[in-house]
Amino acid sequence: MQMHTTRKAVPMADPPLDHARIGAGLSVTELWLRYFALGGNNEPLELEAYLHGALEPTTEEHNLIAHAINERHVELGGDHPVPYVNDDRRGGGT
Amino acid sequence: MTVNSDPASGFRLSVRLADTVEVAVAGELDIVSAPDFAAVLAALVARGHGRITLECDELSFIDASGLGALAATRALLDPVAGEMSVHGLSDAAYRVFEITDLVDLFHAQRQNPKPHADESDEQEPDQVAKRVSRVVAESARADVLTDVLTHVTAMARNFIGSCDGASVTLRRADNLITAAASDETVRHLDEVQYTGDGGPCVDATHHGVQIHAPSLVDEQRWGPFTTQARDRGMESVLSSPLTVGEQPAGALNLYSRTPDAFRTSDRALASEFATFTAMLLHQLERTTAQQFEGRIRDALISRDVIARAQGVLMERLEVDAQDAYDTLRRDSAKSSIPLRQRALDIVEETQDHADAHDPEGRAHG
Repeated sequence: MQMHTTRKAVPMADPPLDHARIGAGLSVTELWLRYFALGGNNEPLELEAYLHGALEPTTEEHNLIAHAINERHVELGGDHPVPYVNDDRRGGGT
Repeated sequence: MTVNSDPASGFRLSVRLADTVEVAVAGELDIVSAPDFAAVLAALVARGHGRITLECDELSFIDASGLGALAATRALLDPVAGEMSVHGLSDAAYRVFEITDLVDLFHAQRQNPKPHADESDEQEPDQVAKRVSRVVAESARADVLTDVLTHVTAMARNFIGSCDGASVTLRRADNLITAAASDETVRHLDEVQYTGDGGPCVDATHHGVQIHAPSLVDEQRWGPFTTQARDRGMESVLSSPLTVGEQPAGALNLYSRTPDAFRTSDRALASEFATFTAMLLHQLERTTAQQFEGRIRDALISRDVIARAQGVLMERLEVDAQDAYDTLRRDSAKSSIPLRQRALDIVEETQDHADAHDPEGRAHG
């Protein structure tokens, strides 16, 4: 499951998460189901608050929401339009 | 009496027969152990043991298969009016029961219940999980509901008598709301009724009977509503209850600028429309709930797979859980392979590797 070890706030993403959600054709409910399936632990109302900027997500939460939206963009044949935060510390790959 | 064990996952099941059978579960209750677990419980029920308590203090993990085994046993207990309680759950396992809204059904309890948790039903922790389910199911339904009811109001306005505006009133907790309206005048006239001294749509919803006001000039039943409706040029109104079961879910409201616009045949047609709308709402509610349940089950499986892959990476890369998750996510983004699939690949690779070194697989004792 996704672990949350820090509560550091991150700046508002650009483009905003909600803009990217709408661009991916996802309802808030659909995005929450995808976010939950990826290990997210917040309720739909909290997710909505992150999307609208009423709450600031932690780095980990932001990246998880961004990934849920980006996976939908990839399904639609697109790229990863939502940037991840603090993701250049080390390379990926397993 | 220990009736089953699996050294590979640490799964162990001990049964103590008494008026209430106590079953101690230890280790991982997952896709491997769930069938044996379900078989033991089914055998207990078949032998007439209708009260079962699961002691889960040593249960380290439960996945969707484990929950499925519990649900299967619960279904066997229903016809014999049996009861099953699940005690001693870790926070993580309890969370799974909360998310799937199963806390009440299984009388689920944590290892260390929080103080005051049982003081009042209102404060029990499963309220949070219930709220999650309701909120998600509700918002999933809301989009479809608005579309359906907008069509209903448009059709009613076009097909019934000299109708000039239509709306649908719905109950929401103790309040009434207008879920769809053909125009803003109609919406306003509905809302005047909810906040003022009532009106036809309030009466139709509360009393479950069709309310006909053929001439607002002569109407005496409602004060502010009648005045405001006449100020906006309305002359007659017809509200038909949306009846599903005993209590009406709301009303279909028709407004006209013509006096006596709704004749007997129109009133019958309005009733048909209202019944049709009520059935549609009922069906929509059931369908959405079922779809939602399926999606939640699927999401739980996905979470299990990801958690397992995280565990493999933590061990392989000697990193903490968050770093393992970040590695998975970055890898998924880089390769454009969905994170869940990436996790599944890792779990399967590890399983294949383990099988190659232990061709006999897990031995059941």
